[in-house]
Amino acid sequence: MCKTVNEHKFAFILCTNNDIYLQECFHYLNQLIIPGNYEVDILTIHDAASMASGYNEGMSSTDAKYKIYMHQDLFILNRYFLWDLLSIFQSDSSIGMIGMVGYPTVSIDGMMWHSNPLGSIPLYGSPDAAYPNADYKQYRYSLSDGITDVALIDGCIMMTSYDLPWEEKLLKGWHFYDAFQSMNFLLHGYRIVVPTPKLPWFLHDDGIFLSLWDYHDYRKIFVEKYAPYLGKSYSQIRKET
Amino acid sequence: METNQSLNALLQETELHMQKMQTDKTYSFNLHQHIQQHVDFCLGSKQYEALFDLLPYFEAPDSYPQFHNSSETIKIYVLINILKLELENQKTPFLSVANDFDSIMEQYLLTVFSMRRLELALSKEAMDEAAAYLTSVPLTIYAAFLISTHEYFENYGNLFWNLYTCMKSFWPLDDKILWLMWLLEKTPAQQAILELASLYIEIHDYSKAYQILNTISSPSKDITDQISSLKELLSYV
Repeated sequence: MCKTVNEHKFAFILCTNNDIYLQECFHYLNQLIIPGNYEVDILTIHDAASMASGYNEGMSSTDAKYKIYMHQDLFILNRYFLWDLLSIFQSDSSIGMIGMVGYPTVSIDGMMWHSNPLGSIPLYGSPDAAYPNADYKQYRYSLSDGITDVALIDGCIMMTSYDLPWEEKLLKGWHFYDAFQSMNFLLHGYRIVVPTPKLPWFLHDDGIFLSLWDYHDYRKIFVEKYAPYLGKSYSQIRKET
Repeated sequence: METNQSLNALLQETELHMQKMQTDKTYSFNLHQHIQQHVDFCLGSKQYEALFDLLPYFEAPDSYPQFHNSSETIKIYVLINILKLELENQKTPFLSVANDFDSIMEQYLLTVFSMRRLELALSKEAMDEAAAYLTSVPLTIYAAFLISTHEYFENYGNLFWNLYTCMKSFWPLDDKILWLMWLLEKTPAQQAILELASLYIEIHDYSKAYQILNTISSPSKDITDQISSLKELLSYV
């Protein structure tokens, strides 16, 4: 485990099993404009045993303060993403984690999307594009565009300014690491927020159909472990902790 | 009381849905493997029409209730629809340079990624790389159109115009006209109208060139002059 934290460093941490997606993901990372005096690490974990164990491996192998855990099929379109990330984290030191899609309430059955989502979510195969004149070359986010507090964030991208270990003991697969880590941050007293930008910052190219094999097993573990918080909002959970 | 009942109903529904997914897993994996093997055979032996044998899995889903589409199998369905249009229109099939399931999946993904780079136009280098790839595969207008409707894109005006610019030396005249008409259905871009008019003039269809130029709402003096010349020409025909 790294003992000193480099306050001027970002680390992208990706678990990967597909070089075609990974190379395209790198293409968008290479388009990013890096803030002055900051460094960027890109850590890829091949053949991780689970998402949680891969992320723990990545977390412990970098001294970067700001870590961006993301899927290999997520492409960053906002070229000022790192600037915007800093502006949100630096606006309040109690913000521990930022997501792109979040849920203000922990769903009663543990399935995130059974609660109302917030944030910016591009829709797959939508016949009417939501942003038909999107121009990412000119796009800039401002804090005044908004951020909103949530209880849980989707795992397609999770950005942190503090390190808390991922739950690799209970989670041996590729599901629920996001919900567990969200609860972890929330119960440690950190705020979790999602920005509400005018254009989506990312494109998640996972196709229309999700692979949900084994999801059920981990859902049951989540529901059991976090039973007292099911059906509660982030503010209720914060009050109780 | 009522809230508790509806919560219990939701929990029960979730439980049943999840249990069903688990029981369907083996069947669905086997069917996915069968689809993959069939694609390997058809592409390896160049017997493309045999791919249509897979259509019932996608078009009669009630006959295969335990089959869950994956993002890969749904791409196969898109590819079969592209092939159908290409064969009907006697084009070299988009999938004809692939030899098996893995290579067509790679080709499909790289095509989507390249189209997206053209749509976003973030840098010249990115666009040049995209153009180099797209012109190296037999990208028909049918492949480009169906992929654009099944994958995630936002700025169709940019996508269609930049793709046209990249492919216009490769696509035949009829295809270019059709593509520009599709583009104009998405967005009435003046540059596309002018290009379409010039293609009509190239095939001496002055009437259509005149009609399409007349759709420009505030034409410049050059365009007004061109419309007048065409009108005069048409009066002689």
